[in-house]
Amino acid sequence: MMATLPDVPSFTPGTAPSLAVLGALASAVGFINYQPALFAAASSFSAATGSYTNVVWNTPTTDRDSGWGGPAQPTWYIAQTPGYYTCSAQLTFGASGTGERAADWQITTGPSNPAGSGTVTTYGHVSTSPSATDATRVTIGIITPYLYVGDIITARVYQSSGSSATCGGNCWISYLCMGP
Amino acid sequence: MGTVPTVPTFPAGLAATGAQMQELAQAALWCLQRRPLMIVAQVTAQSIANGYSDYSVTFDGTPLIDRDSGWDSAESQYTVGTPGVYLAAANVVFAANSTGYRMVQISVTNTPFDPCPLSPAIGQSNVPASGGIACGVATRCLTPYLYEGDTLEVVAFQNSGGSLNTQTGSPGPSWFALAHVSG
Repeated sequence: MMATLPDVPSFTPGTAPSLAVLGALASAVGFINYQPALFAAASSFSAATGSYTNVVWNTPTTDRDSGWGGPAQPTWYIAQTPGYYTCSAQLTFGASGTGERAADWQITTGPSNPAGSGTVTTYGHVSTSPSATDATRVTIGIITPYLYVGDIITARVYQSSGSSATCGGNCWISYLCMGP
Repeated sequence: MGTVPTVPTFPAGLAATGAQMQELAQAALWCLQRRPLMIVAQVTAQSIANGYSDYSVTFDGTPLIDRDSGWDSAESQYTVGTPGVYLAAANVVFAANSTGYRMVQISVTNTPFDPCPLSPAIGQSNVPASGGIACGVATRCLTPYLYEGDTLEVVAFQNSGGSLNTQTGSPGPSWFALAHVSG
């Protein structure tokens, strides 16, 4: 787990740096080269009509920071490293020409966020008219506000076909911490 | 305004100086914490005229972050201070209306000294309008190499048949973000 950000050391001219200081610099460069990231796909899931449904993610193929919520909270990414994140997702709706399809991101603050725990905001709303003959796919992406350890990001879908609809299949999500 | 730091080289057989090591540390610090990054949202709903092909979107919120002081709130545009390639992302949310389509793009204006003039529009995206819920349109792209003084703004289009407001409450605001990703 990479829950802390590395400190970049200072070097004083005329003073030989210790191995610990060189190690701190190496740690910082290592972080830049291997930032917290997640990549996961979603299997098919059912979304009710006229409301938002959190997307359930499978076990990630990449999760450098152990941020996925696991089987208990498979819709969550829980920030383990503070900073700004860039997030992308591709979301798929089954063919149906009725109503609308939409998706967005929801961020819920955690206990270490200065705003307090449980504040919910949504970002990156995307919507479209669906296809009756082909799957409808939308891509959503954001650069988040500063996230604190414990803040939760979820991707949500919305559909108004008039009945429950199958989503998923060729859905994926990615998170990358861009640093503090 | 900033510059991408120079990473020192260390010739074999010579001892690194403290100044060189400090230069290397500063380069690492810049990559980790000082790369230009700007995020701004729209707070006040804006009326977008029907069929107007170059309608600048106003982002009147205080930027969440603007490391390079590039955001001009009066003009609602970003002026590049540090050259390089940027990740540009924008999202415009229109009030529900089912007529026509909605478009968003990021427009780049180059300085006369730019050796590689761009097409003014990058990352254009459009969708059929949605009438049951607010219509959100997003764009997200890597820019070409941008030079100091280049400007970027978000432009929207709608052809509902009349003026149409952007939406600022649920389901979230319109916003614009830029992140420097490579020098």
